[in-house]
Amino acid sequence: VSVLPFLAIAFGAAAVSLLARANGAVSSAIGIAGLAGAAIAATTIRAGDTLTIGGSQLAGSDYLRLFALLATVAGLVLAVVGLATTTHRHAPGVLLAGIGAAALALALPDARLAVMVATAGGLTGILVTIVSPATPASVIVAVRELRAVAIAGLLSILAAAWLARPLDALAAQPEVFGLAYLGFAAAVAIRFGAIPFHFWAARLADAAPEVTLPVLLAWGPAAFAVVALAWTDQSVSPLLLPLTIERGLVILVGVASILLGSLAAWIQDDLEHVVGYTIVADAGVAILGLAVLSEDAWGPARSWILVFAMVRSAFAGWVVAVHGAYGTRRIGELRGWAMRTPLLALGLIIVAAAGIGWPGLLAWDSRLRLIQLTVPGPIGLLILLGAVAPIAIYARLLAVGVGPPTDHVTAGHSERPNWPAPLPSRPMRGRGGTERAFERTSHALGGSLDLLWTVPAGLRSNRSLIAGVLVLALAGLSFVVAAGGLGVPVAAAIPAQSAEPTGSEPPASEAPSGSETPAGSEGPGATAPVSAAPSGGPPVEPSPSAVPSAPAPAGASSPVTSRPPGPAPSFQPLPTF
Amino acid sequence: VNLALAAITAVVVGGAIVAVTARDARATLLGLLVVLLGAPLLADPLPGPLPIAARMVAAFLAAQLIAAAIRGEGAAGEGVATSGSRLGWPVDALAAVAAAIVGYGTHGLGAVPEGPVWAQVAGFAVGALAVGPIVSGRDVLRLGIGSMLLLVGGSLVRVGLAGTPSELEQLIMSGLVIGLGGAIAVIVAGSRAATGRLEIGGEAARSLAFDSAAARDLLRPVGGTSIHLGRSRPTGDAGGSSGAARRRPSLDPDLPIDPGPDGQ
Repeated sequence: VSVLPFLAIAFGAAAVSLLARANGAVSSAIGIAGLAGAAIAATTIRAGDTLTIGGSQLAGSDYLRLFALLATVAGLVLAVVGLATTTHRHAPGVLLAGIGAAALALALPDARLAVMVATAGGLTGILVTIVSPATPASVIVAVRELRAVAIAGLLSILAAAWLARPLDALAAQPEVFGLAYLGFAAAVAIRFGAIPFHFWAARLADAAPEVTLPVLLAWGPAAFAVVALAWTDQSVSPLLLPLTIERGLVILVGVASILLGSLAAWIQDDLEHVVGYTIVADAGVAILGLAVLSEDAWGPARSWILVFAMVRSAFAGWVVAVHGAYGTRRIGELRGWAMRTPLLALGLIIVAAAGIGWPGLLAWDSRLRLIQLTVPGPIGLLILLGAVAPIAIYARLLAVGVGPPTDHVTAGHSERPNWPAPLPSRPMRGRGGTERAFERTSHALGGSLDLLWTVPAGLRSNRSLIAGVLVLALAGLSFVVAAGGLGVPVAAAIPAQSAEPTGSEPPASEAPSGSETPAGSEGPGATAPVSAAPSGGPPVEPSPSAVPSAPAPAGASSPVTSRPPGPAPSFQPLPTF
Repeated sequence: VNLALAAITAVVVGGAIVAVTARDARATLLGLLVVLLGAPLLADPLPGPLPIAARMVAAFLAAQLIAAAIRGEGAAGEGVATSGSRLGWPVDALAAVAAAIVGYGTHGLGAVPEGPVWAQVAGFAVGALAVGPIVSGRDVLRLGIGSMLLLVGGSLVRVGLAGTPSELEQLIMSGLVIGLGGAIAVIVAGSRAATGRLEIGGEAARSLAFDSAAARDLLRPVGGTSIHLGRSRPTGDAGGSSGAARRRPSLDPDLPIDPGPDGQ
């Protein structure tokens, strides 16, 4: 039940904001108020809280609460920062709808439903992709986006349906499981715009407003990836299938995205492209999580997904603020930006620290773990180098920022505080203490009025300062998440549970020894089993994952075997910040 | 053989053939509507009345959104025309029949199916018909219709494999259909506002081929808030000199109606 208020606020405010789009100010105000309300409602989501609607379940979880809270806070900051620069009147509504759809997908334990919701959420981006006035190029970008979302949706719907039934008499088990797994992984890669499926995503960075990029390219696909992780953890991983070729292909896509995404981000001159390709590079690490096919990847992959979505949101916020301050996104025209907007410079340094990390930080450890699990050895180290290559991009941006300012930067808005009108001075005339007290009170009232009428103009003339403060706050929050704060590693390590079996499905077979059933069936957003650490306390080793939803196929000759009982190697949660 | 389901399958596949082969946009939309109305009935047991009603309402709403985008006159002063199927309807029909036979023969895809064979038959046929517009379409309406058919086909195969969806799943599918309809409508209206046609030329696509730099016509003006964007009329647009550009429909305030060269 605790999920419902969040969903109601998110979808309700999104609908009202989009319906009121004829009046842009009202639409933006409703959208921003909705984001704030949704952020508050997200804090009330409780783990283990389930609700049955129409024969299916909605379930709350710690991971869902974190995901929804962080996404709405990031969306709120981006929407407010966007008011100071170029954005789109649909942006707050689209942010709300996208985040709401992502949260709903995570709240649905049944992957068949979750992928449909995630697909519908992907469609919201089209509302902001076609710029105004419409151009053929923007229409083409929207068409590519629609095609990518539809194909990813088809692949995931088929994969989820294929394995969501008794498979005892399955004719060719490894092939079937391999195809379904490959289809779902391809769907995730398409939604992330991973290389070589990046064609649509690359131009989306041009067409969509900067403030919506994190939701369109990171948060929405991230929910899709979490659903895929839960599905593989329940339906494919427990069967220990020899899916060598399929896993190899997924690893190839992940590695290509990491290396080529970082390279593409380096050669870009447009900041939105840089954001887009760094998202692609980070998404490659998340895709590696799908290739592990072991419960060892569960915690690191879900931790990394939260970390990278949050860090890229902060980076996008920095781009929005820079664009608003100097009116350009071209790196070559931004020389000297750091000297005139030092808060943004500090924000970029924090974003860089959160995105790259160091040993001991959740961002670093989870990324390293995923790479080690898929590509061990020296090649894995090379991939790790590629994954941290964006440090060169941050260094380049900072180096450009300390140079002599260009005309764009000189003419832009600095963070220096200023006020649009001088405050009048009132000399004291009273003689006695009472007179002076009366005078001071009157001056205070008059001074308040003098301030009040200039507040709108004051906000406008200090918009770079306000944007800098907001971006700094978002960067700080992203660092907290990257460091493992807010209970991210504990929430991410809690295993998912399968949906309640329907009447036509046989009971799940062979739960691993030691697995625990939480109070209620919960979604891919994960659950709160008995072994979960108390909030704020030290993390504990999670219970072995995954009660497989698909029963182990019978037949001695079958190469398919179920996971052997006994304690499986489990992910060691990283220390909290 | 369940004759009722077989008949519904024939209607759904027929609607899909019309949707991808017709040149009149209204006929295309009618074909799509038939598919959307018939698809929820391809289940055994049938869903309850409320889920079916939700799917029907979603089908009509999606069709209405698309209809608003294709309203008005086309380039020749007639109804809006799509490029239609380049292969012709007999080829598409045969491809659909072939896919339907494959769907019939592979019911369950290797395991015991929980849904009717006719759902998988229709799903394979509809999915096969969607491939052409998705892969080769420059016509945005056909491409949008193809996307819709692709997802409806996938949902039909899902019914054939895993049985009748739950009520919540039907509700979510209804939302997906409405969302797709809205997305198609926005894209179609954008294309007509930009070029006056449903087809987007190769020149625009070529300008997006190499992405080392931002495409100039995708950049937005800077320095203002979003609330002022879209209030101005388009200037010097590619389709501005065409008579077809008159009274372009606009679902979205961001896509203003172009009065045409004579200001009417």
